[in-house]
This record gives sequence, C-alpha cells and structure tokens, in this order.
Amino acid sequence: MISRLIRLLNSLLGFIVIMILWQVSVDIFEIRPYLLPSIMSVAQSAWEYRSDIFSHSLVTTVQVIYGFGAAVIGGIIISLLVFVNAPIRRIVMPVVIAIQGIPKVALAPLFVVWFGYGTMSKVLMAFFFAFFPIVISTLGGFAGTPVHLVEHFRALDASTTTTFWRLRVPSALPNFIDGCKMAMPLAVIGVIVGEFVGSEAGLGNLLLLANASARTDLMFASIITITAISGLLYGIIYLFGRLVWWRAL
Amino acid sequence: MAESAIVLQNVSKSFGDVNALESVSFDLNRGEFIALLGPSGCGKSTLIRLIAGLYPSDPGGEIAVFGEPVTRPSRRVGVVFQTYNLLPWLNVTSNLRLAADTRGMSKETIAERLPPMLEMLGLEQFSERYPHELSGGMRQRVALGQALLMRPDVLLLDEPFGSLDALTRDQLNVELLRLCQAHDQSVLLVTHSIDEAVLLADRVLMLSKRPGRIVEDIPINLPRPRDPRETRLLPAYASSVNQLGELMGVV
Repeated sequence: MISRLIRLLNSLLGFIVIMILWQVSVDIFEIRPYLLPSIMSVAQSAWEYRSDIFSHSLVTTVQVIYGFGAAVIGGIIISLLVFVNAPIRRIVMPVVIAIQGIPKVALAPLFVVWFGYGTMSKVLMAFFFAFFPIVISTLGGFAGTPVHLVEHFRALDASTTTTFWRLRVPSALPNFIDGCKMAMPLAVIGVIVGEFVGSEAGLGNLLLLANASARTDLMFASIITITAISGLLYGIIYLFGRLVWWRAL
Repeated sequence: MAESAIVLQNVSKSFGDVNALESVSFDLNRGEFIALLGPSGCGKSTLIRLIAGLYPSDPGGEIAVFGEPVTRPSRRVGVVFQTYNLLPWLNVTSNLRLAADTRGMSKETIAERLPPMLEMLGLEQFSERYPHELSGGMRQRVALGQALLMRPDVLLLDEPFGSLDALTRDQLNVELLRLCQAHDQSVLLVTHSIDEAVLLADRVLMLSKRPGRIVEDIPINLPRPRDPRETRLLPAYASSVNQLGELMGVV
C-alpha cells in the first residue's frame, strides 16, 4: 500500500518539479503574464472557467473516442482483409500507405468544407491520424506469429479459421494494443487540429478563443486539459493492454 | 498381424537444387521404437515433416501410415517438435487439450483423459500454470502430453528433449520409455545423441550427411524395461554406443 503510494508520488514528481520551476522562474524573472502566466494564475483561470473547460472537454473527448473507435474498427477490418486476401493486400496497401503520406493537417480545411463545423469533420481527422498505426501494428502481429506454432497447427491439420482464431489473433493482440497506444494521442491531435480549422466547440476552439482575447492563462489551462485527457485515454488503453499479459513474454 | 505403422519407400526430398533426402526406405513396425540418428543438417527433421504430412515428398517415393498414403497430416500421428509447441496464453490444462481439441475429439473424452494425463506427467500441481511459469522440462512434458492425449498410433518426436540439460533429458527419457511401454506405442525419434538413441530404441537408423540416406540399420538388443542408469552399465550398451560412434565418425 505504502510502496504503491510512493510509486504514485514518483510518477507525479516530474510534473511537480516542472510546476515549481515554472512558478519560481516566473516570479524571479518577472515574466509578463501575457507571455507566460504563473502556474497559480493558470490554475485560477482554470477554476474560473471550469464549466466552460468541462463542456468543451466533453465535446473534444467524445470526438476523440468516436474517431479512435472508428480507427480501431476500420483498422481491424482492413488488417483482416489485407492479411487474409493477397489480391486485396496488393490493392489496398498502397492506398493505405499513400493516405499515411498525406499531410493530414492539410486535410482539415477540406473536411470542414465537406462536413461543416460539427462533429463529423473532427471525427474524420482523428480517424485518419489513428488509423495507420493500428493497421500497421496489427498486420505486424499477424505476420509475426511464431513460425514453429504455425507449423504445430499445420501438423494438427487445423483449419485456417482455427489457426486464425486460436493462434494468430492471440499472437497479434499485443501488437494491436501497441498500435492503439500510438494511435490514441494521435487521435487527440487530429481532433484539436480539426477544431483549430473550423469548429463551434471543443478545447481547440477554446484555445483559439483564449488566444484571440490574449488570455494566455486560459490557453495554458486548455493545453493542460488536452494533455490530461490524452493521458487519461492512454491510461484506459494501458489497462486494456494488461489483459493481454503474454505480450511481455 | 505385423502390419507396419509407417512404410517409406524410396522417399526423396529436394528444396530447389538442395537434395535433403535421397531414396530413404524403411518400415516402422507396430509397437516398435526407431531412432533416426545423423549429423545435423542430414534431413532428419525433413523426414519427420514428410511423414507428418506437412509437405509432400518428391514424386517417385511413397510414404504410408497404416497403409494409407500420406497426403495431409493424419490424425493417427502425433508430433512433438523441438521447440515448445505451447501457446503462452493458455495454461497447462488448456495447452494439453489443444491438439485433441483441434483434432475434433469430443469434450467428454478429453475431460476423461485429462486428469490421468496430468498425473502421468507429474503436473497435477501445475494444471493452472502458464508455460512461462514452468521449467523447460515441464514445458516439454506438456508438449509430449498434448500429443499423447490424442492417443496417436504413431508418435513422431523431432529432438523433443534437445534443448534440455542432460539430467532433465534423462528424466524425460525414463518417462518416455514408461509411457511408450504402457501403450505399446510406435515411435520414430529423431536425435543426434547416440546415448539417447541406444537407450530408447529397438532399432537405430543411421543417416548420412546431406543428402540424407540410410546407411545403417542397427538393432539394439538391450532388455526392456530399460533404465538409463542400469542400462548404461550393460556391455551391450557400450558396444552399441561404440559401434554407432565409429559409424558417426565415418559417415
């Protein structure tokens, strides 16, 4: 129990040090608040605007979850098709790789033109940011199934379906989780970029509003909230990943 | 009556322009234990994989398991490879079921055979453990049990204990002998250990360097049941080992 508490404190220590350094340097060097507000004033404005921050956070989080969820589902489907069927692989993989090559930030204005200022354009941004790492790592997992186990299943005259479900899927799960871990922060970035380009709500929107009214403290409050959400969602995937405990073997 | 478990006639196998095996012929009789002995790279493992139906032999040769030509993995054959055939995400019990399950054996039969199998392997205390929690010897015991749970008519063993230390190897060989004698099991064992071949087998087939050909067929006339410590003291053991050692040096 106590050792757990110490470990928790350890993982918070880095943040505490950064915050202290921040506060101290602002005080010592008398940095003007519109350049770098003190951590205390950031906290104050976060408290002052707590209901706004909360409602914008909700919008952003929901969009991230939709986009990420779509990327997971889409990623699994594409990985399955590509793995199972060679002609599909030859047709689909170049497209997937080309899509990854597009500077996705440049897609945001297009999505806003096509789908408006609402949720859809942000969900698409998150999807495009998160999709690729999921597909690549899942495919890597399928292909990385230990050869001697594949041979063992062949010696048992196991059907392709049995081999797939009982061998390839469990072997690929750790890689899939890794892909999700990479994809989740990217999905958050995608949504924020989408909100920058055109939105009516969300933390990216709040950030722009704060910027326009020279409220650097509120900008920092928004940035910290975005980071916290990203960390929280990552933590959820981390917990899911612990179910796939054989990853570390 | 003396129907052969495995018959190989003139079996060759080449991969591209590499000849792995060249016109190999032999019979494995029912209840017989044959050891295939040879230097590494002589195609021993290839031979096991051909009999297991993992890939076809070159045209012109014939492999039959209980009279049926091998075209695909037969359910009468159990294979244990050198690398542990265990799934890391399944515990001992589930790993033991794996082969029988995949082969479509009924749940009732499996449930019936599991407890005695765990007992026979000395793994009752470990039935809920996962492979990474087991020693190398235990893992290979599970792999062996997995194959035996199907009660295969023939057991193909591809250096199953090759990666274990000498002591564990001896222990497992004792158990293997016990299991085989109890079930009158027909076994084809691939090994590069002369000691192991002499201790276990009724006959030792000696393969040459690549391309693998059978160069000697040597009966081992040692009394059964055998026990490594006692059997090694017999003069017949020493002479067989010497004979094979000389041949290994020559081949």
